[in-house]
Amino acid sequence: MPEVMLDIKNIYKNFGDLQVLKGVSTTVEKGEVVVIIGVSGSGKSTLLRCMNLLEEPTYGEVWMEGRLMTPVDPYLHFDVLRASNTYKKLVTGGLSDEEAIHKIKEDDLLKEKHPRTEGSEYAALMKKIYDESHIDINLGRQKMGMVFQSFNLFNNKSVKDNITLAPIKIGKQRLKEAKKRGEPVTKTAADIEKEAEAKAMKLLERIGLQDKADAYPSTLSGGQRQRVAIIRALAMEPDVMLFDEPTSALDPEMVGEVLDLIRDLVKSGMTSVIVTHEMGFAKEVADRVIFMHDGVIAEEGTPEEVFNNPKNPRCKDFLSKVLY
Amino acid sequence: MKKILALVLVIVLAVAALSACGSSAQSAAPAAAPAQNDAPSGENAAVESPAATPAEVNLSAAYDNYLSQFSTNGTNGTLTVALSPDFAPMEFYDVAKSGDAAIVGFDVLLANYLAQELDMTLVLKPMSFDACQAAVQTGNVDVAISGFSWKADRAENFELSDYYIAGDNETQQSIICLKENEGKFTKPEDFIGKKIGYQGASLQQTLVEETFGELDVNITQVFSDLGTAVEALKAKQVDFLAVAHGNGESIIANSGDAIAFSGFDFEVDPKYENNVCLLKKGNTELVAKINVALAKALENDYYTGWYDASKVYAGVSTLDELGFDENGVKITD
Amino acid sequence: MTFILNIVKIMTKYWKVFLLQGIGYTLLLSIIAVAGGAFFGSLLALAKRSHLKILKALVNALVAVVRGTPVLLQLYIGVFVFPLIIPKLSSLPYIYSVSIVLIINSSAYVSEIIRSGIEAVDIGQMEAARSLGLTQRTAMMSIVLPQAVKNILPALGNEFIMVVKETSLASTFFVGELMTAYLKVKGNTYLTMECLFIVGVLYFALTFILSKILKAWEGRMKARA
Repeated sequence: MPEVMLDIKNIYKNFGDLQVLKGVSTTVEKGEVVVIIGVSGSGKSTLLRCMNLLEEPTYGEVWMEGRLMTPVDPYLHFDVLRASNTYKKLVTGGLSDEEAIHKIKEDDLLKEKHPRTEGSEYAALMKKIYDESHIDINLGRQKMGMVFQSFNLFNNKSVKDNITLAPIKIGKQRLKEAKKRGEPVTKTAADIEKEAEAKAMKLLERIGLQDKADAYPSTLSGGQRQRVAIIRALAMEPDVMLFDEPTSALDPEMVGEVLDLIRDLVKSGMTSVIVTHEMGFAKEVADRVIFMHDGVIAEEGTPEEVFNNPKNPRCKDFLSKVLY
Repeated sequence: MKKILALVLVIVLAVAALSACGSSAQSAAPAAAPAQNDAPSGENAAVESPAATPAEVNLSAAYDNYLSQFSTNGTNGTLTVALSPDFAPMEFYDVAKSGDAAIVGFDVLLANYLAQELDMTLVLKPMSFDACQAAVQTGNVDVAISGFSWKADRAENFELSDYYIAGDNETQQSIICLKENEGKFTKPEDFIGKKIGYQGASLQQTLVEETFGELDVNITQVFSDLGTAVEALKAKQVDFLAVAHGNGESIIANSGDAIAFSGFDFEVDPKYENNVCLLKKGNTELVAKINVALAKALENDYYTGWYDASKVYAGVSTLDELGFDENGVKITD
Repeated sequence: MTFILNIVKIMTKYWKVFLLQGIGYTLLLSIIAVAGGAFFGSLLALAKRSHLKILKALVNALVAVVRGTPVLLQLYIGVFVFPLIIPKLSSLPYIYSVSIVLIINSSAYVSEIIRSGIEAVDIGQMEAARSLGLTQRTAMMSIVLPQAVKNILPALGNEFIMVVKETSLASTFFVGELMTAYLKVKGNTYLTMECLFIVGVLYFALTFILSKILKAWEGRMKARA
């Protein structure tokens, strides 16, 4: 039984009246490399951003390593639905269990209601699920590295500080909390800083940019910036890496160096979700390819299945345009 | 950075030069002082601060004599008085003094007198003329004493005290003009075809309209303050200005011989002649007390001395012109 | 020629009123307004980003009212209405009420300056920080604000210069700044244009020097970043 790392359950995302995601569910297993493709506006970037909650899903749940990162979505839990006053009213009104649940979901009857208005049983169940499985959003994000299309290196920090900022800040925070709880601590704040710096230098060496440690991001080339952004995410020792079109903003001659680094990474077993337009690369590294269209997963399978033998006509159309 | 230093330096030098030039002028002043005793030439008086310059005649002597007669500590709480001290000699600043003491003039003497009579401690609140009325309305001050004249709509919205007589500042209302027209205009018909300016919402507006309304005289100009009006006269935007005689004297004294009285005085209806104190509508108790004090002042003829002393202080007249000795004591015969 | 002579004579007698009191109080009021404005303006800017809708609405309303009404009117309200709310004020000189009004006024503008300064920082900076697991607060303090300061400082300098000129309205209550100096001296001498010319030159000198100093400071900030 493979270990599930990331579990996306029935994600909807609305921006005002615009529905960008219309019910997306998928899982990412440990060590798996999932590549998401599709036309612009198909919702692939939004899906990736929903995974670490940079976008808050309108409905649905995101589970990271068995812990819930979003609020509880009552539509995903039948026992919760059945505890709601709305359900009880519908059933006493003569609807069957199935019809009542269908009606609640279809008409979105629980939307934006305070849990209390659905009765104490409902509220208690919601709270129970939340308390049992919830993880602090920042803790969840620390397990997920994110790489952006536009690099987003901190402009006011040197390359080295870009990499060490989060490990130091978070390390010190953990230290403080541990002290508060009275746990024995072996490290000092200075140790944390030293370790983070050593790790940063090691990571910089890995990409051959150790001499740029004290440079500011504005002095680097696009390719260098993106590689620094990748190791910045790695410095947090994440369990999953999310790549949001990592080469789209690069000049063509710099795409290679960034793809090489990502390839290295996935070959070493890093669980990754990659949104990209580089079809050759996708074919090469992906364990599974997801084709998004109009806010839903239109096709999903191994690279061979999707690239060589697409069933969905939209997918066929898309591939014929980008491959040849 | 160097540039800025240079700039600061230039400005400091400029300021230093100005004040140096100032002090040299000052040191030259005593020499000219004796002449001034006899007849203060307008231009000198313009810059002759009310501030005492020891070598010269003490301009504030008479005023200080009056002021020192009033007790300053009342047992009956405070009397806060709003006034607009940009109106010599009724109320103006003596820049050599500080705090409340720097605000001087006829109305200040009156306010001190009232506070003494009411056994209250006086607090002066300087503000613009418009703000004075707002301060009374909101109850921020007890009373406004700032050369207010009686007007029907004022009486409607405020509690007005009985009259007090500010010397000839209000009883004599005149028209001033450029020096070249001095004394040439004596009757209303002389002004036909001319342009007469006045300060907006003032007694002069009423007088000008009453006197010239029927004649072919251009009386359209309105100024919000007297200083601006004087500039307009100098710039020949108007031919004449209607002013209270006392203000006219101040203006002429400071004009460097450019302005003079036209020779025309208004016939002033007694109801306009004098000033009143403004109080909040409904504050009849305080008005009654003030009226008692005002009646006493009128009966004993305090006003003339106060007004004369203020005029000397403002540099409009000299002590001996108005019958004071050099220590500021009124010479009685 | 008489004009220049008159100015020399006025300065001879009244230089203290203009140069010491006038400039002193103008600078004092401006510094109080901008320093208070920077402090309370930051708090208002924070409140604007709060999740409490009521707080947000209140702050937005305050800013809208302050920006939508003349400063003179605000001064009248401050001087005549504040003492009804805070009785202590009625026994203090008007400069206290005037300072409070100027601080409130400046806070409103500064809060807008800070808000737009923060919004001008690329949203990606915040996202990157949050994606690493940093809290909103840490991301704000370590990444966004230091970058926003570069946008905020020049605008804050402009606000300072605006405030220097706005303090002139406080002369309605004779608090002693440059325009009050003008009123005092003009009231004594009736030499309006000469007095106006003097305060005009002084206001210009003040704002000119200030803007040069601020520019140099900005340059140094930029060089450091």
